[in-house]
Amino acid sequence: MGPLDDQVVREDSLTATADGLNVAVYTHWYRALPLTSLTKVDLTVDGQPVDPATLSVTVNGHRYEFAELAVKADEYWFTTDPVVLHVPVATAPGRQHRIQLQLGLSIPYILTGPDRTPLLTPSSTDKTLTAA
Amino acid sequence: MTNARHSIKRGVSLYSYQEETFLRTMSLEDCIRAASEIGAHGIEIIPEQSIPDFTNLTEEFVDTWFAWMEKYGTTPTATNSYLDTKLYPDRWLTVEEQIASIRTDIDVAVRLGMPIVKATINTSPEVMEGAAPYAEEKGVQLLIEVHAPFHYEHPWILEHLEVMHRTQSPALGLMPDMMTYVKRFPRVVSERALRDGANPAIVDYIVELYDDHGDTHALMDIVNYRGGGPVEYGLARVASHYIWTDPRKMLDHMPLIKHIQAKFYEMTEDEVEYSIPYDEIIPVLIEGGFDGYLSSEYEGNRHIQDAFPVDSVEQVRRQHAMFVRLLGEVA
Repeated sequence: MGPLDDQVVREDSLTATADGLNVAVYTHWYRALPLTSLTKVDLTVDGQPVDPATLSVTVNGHRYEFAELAVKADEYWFTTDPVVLHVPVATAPGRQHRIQLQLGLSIPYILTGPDRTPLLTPSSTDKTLTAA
Repeated sequence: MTNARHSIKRGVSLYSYQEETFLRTMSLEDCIRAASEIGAHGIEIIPEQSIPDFTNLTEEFVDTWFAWMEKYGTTPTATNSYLDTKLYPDRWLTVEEQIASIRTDIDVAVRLGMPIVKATINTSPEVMEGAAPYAEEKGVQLLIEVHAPFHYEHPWILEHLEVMHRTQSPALGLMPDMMTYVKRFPRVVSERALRDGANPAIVDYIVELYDDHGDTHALMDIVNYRGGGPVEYGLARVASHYIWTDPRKMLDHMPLIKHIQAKFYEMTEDEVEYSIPYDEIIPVLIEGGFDGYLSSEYEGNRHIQDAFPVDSVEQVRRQHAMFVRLLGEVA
């Protein structure tokens, strides 16, 4: 659960492009977080799990491979800006997709447990939306 | 506003409007205007929440910020720093890096005209001591938040006090969070647990134990013994993190107290906080000669948003109506 799960993936989040489906994702945390905090993106499109290794991501106008975010400690994901996931699945404008997303944000200043693990604040989405 | 009895001022941390900020129904300017309209002229922000494109603080933003301060008759009061010790997945920030992080926060505060930087409770006494000379040089006060479950006799706070007393740095001090004065369990929290499916008998047990100011140390274990699941356990964890202590304890530390985070969870229609007795707190601040800002920090949204519309503006308005009454302000 997350306090603002409804807003993580919005009605207008899906866009069809020539190379796949873009999914605009919003944070559910109250402050901007470094991109290294975006640690868990378990995405399923129409019942098919998407390997994060195949995802690329656009944030702040820059496009990265998902794995690259792990070293982007100096760039922040702002509270009102989307991160756009580029998903390599076939789509077209007007097509519906079921989007299931387990988003996990690793909070770098709230440490829990004996291993000083950052709090992983989860959010869960399950929506069927139409691509623009 | 001041009167003969005290010089306490009123303000708002724009954290209070996080729901509306998140839903994009209020802009940053809207938040400043909302505070100004209720006579809360001190503006506190979380840079990571309020500054688009943070960490890039542009000249354009700074100019706009000061134009808003003038337009709405408001004054910058404080920023909140965060020590992202786990910024990198594979290692911890060194003490030197932590001090550098605080120095950056001080630089941001200076550019926005903020005289105070809140150091989040995870900031160590060593980092406070290491950052103090820079804060002094920049004319900024670095205040450790006294956040529940910590309190003035807690070892962590005692270590911070030791640094403050030993160094006598004019830059170091305390920022009490009023969640250390939760006298009655916030019903918005227990009612949310019930909506999430918690066992009512266990919820009642937790609330009654808290309200009796019983020993909550083993509460999470007890919930397990009574067959509670994750929701009941989560409620027990919250109950063991809120604390009630005597507000008069602040009198021993008043010279170090420069700013108050006026946390609240629910302002009722009668303009009273359901769980935090501000009528017991504000007289202590007056008696101690506190002359900083009472800065609203509304945190009830997360407990009601599943079932009710959130109106942070109205909640903050009610809190300030209460402050006006308790401070004896005359309109």
